[in-house]
Amino acid sequence: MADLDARTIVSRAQIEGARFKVRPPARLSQGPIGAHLGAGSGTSVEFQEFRDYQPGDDLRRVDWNVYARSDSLVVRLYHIEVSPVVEVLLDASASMGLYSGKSGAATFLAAFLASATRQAEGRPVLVLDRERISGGRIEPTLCAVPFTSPGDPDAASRWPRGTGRPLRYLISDLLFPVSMGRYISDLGRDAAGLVTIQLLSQSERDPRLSGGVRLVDAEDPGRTKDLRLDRSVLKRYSERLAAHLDSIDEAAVRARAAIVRIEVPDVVRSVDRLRDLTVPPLLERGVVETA
Amino acid sequence: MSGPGLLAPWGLAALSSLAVVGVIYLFYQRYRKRSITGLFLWQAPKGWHEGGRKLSVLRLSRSLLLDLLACLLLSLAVAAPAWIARTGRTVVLVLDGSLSMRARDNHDKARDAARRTVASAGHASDWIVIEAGDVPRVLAGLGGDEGTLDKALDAYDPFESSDSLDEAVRLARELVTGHAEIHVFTDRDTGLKPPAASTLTAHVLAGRAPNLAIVDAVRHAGGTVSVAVASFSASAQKAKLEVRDGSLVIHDEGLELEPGAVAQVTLLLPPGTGALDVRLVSKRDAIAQDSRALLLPEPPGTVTFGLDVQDDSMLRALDAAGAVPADGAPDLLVTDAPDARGTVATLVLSVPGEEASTLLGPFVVDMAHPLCRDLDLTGVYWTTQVEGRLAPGSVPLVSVGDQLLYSIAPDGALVLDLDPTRSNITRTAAWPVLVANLVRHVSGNLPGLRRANYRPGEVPVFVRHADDRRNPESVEGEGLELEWERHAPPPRLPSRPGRYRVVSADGTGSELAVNAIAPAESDLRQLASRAGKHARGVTGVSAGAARLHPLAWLLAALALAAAALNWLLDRRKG
Repeated sequence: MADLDARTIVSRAQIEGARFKVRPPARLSQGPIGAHLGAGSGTSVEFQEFRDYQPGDDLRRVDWNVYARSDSLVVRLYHIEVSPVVEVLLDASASMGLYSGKSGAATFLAAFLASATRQAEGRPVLVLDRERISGGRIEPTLCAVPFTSPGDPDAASRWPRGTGRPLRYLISDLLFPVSMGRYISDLGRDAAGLVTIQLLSQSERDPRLSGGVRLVDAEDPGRTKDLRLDRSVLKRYSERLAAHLDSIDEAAVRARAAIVRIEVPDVVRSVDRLRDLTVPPLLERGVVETA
Repeated sequence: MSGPGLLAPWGLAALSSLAVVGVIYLFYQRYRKRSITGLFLWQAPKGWHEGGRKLSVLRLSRSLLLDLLACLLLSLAVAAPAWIARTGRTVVLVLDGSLSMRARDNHDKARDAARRTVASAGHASDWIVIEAGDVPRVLAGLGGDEGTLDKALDAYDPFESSDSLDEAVRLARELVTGHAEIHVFTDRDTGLKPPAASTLTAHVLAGRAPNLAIVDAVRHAGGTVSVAVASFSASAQKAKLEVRDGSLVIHDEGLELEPGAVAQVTLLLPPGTGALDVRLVSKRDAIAQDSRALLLPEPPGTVTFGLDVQDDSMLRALDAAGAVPADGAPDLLVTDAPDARGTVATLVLSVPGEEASTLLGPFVVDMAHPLCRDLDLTGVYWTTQVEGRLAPGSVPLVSVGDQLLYSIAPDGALVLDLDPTRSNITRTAAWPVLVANLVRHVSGNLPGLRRANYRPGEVPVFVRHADDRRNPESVEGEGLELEWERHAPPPRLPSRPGRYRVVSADGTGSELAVNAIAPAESDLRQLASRAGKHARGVTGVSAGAARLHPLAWLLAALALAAAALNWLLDRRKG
């Protein structure tokens, strides 16, 4: 059977995403008026607190009953009702496209989160290769992601940022030689919340290689390493991978980011399988909830 | 005989490509490329050697198997002709046996080309060699080995006065059961067509060249010799005609011949001249053999006679006809005894007695019979027996009514019912004519060779002796020996020019000469001007340098398909 078509993946992810909605942090600070209560004051019906009247306050907010009882002018403040901005940062580097299972899962997750964001009356923004894409352009863009970009260790600092503090989702394999503590910290610095979804393919988790191999970096073919792979080399790889994942977990804890690690086969031949591989972990970690 | 095969040079070389592919893959797989993520995670442990093992087992990948398959199929394609040969390929070599093939050494070229053809057909193929001279001659049949082929090709000796390529091709078809691969080697642009179930390849050799030749050479019994010389050149040619009797030059003449001209030279030979060696010497002469002729003295044909009757007119007529009195048994016996016989012929003079009648013509004369040639009996009185009547079994030569005057008796004796003393025939021209015809008739039936000089492929004229021990058993000479069966017609003489001896059972014999005189073959102007190869037929043979059987093409196509599949799969994968 041939690999899955991106268009099929995206359309199915949209449908699946409509059954869920992203689950934001307890209070979002900013965002356009919407369904979620923001940290600031606003025009929702949910009372927040009283405050002394200050010149310029809207006289309609003055609590005249309190004035009648205490002869002091106080105004009633209500929570502001905001709609969350959700940034989906999709790593489209060549390493993500090395295995069709991993690239398919990444595409599915991006479309799924965009759809679930809309379900939560939020505004999804897809961040891809230093470009911010929003609205109806998200899905068509996802249908044509080439996954051929060169690796960029400084991507976290260079990603274009919007105004405010969005809820940020990173979809990546995080297999690049940078300090994960700094990388994740940079990503979460201006975000209301950060969820890191790490995709690992089966061959990355458990490489089945043997004999003399010239390892070529998927993101930089000029970087190679000739190795004769035996048990000792493979064992050492497993140890180094485990240490790298630990550093990611540690960085996530420090940055108060959620980490969801999903392992996918090298090749996935059905969208159902993609859904089964990706959605349950998100639900389990509270990243999304049923709409 | 060798040809392409899996163990022969080309097949073996092709097979070696499998090993080459294996070695390439071994080196290629030593560090096969693999794209990965997280190169930084891969690190050799301490004490690990970068080079690794120097030898490793070759891994059988799909790509390797397809490449090996392609090489194997190509090897089989190269070896396919040998396979075909093993399944009953039969090659027929038809060599033009006419004299013109000697020009420009084309006969040697034809031999070499025939050897190459058999070699390329494969060692398991079978072959036939046919020389197409005046009549096709099988030089080697099916089932021969390499030595047989060499002998057959060495026996190929083109001196015939014409070729019989059509007949040779037909013969080839008849000799082969199944598909026949016929190769014709000739110097003519033939329009040969392949017979049914056959392929035919004409290997045409360039034969066009200027040539001078002796186109006729006759030695007459009377002591003269006539030689005709022709120029088959596009320009005037100078030549020298030399006639030798042994080492003695008896004639030497310079000739200047215009294109297409024929010069006639007639010589009167001194008595006792032996064998004549006639040579035409020129600078531009494509065929040496047709510029030389050996002319032996022709048999004299002198008739000896015995005369048992006293008849002066008969004696004078015999003498005038060239007959000589016999010392021993006469060739011709003229007698009045009915039972006496000469060794060759007998003329019985049936002299009538007193009871005779004289007849006056016209008589019935069988003018078609050689004995009656030019016999005019007008005005002749013929005295004959009164009782003479038609005898059963006799052949009448001269008759009147039912009376036989001159006849051939059933036993072959000639019966002349005539009293010369009472007839005026001896005083007419009819008498010497009658006797001369008789002597010529006897001369023509004298035992032994009637001619001494022949052209290639002619049948010798020999009159058998009554004594069988004096009759020929073989013809020998020029390294050849030809059997002459006792009760069969005389054999065709060998075409190779030279001196031969007809050997009898009692050891006696007579000589004859064969000369390469064939004007049509000496004229090389109409031959092919360029060498070439033309294939005609259904399948199996193609003209040109590369000759591949359809099976070979199929195998090559499959090899290409395997390579293409490998490429496509690699492209899809990568």
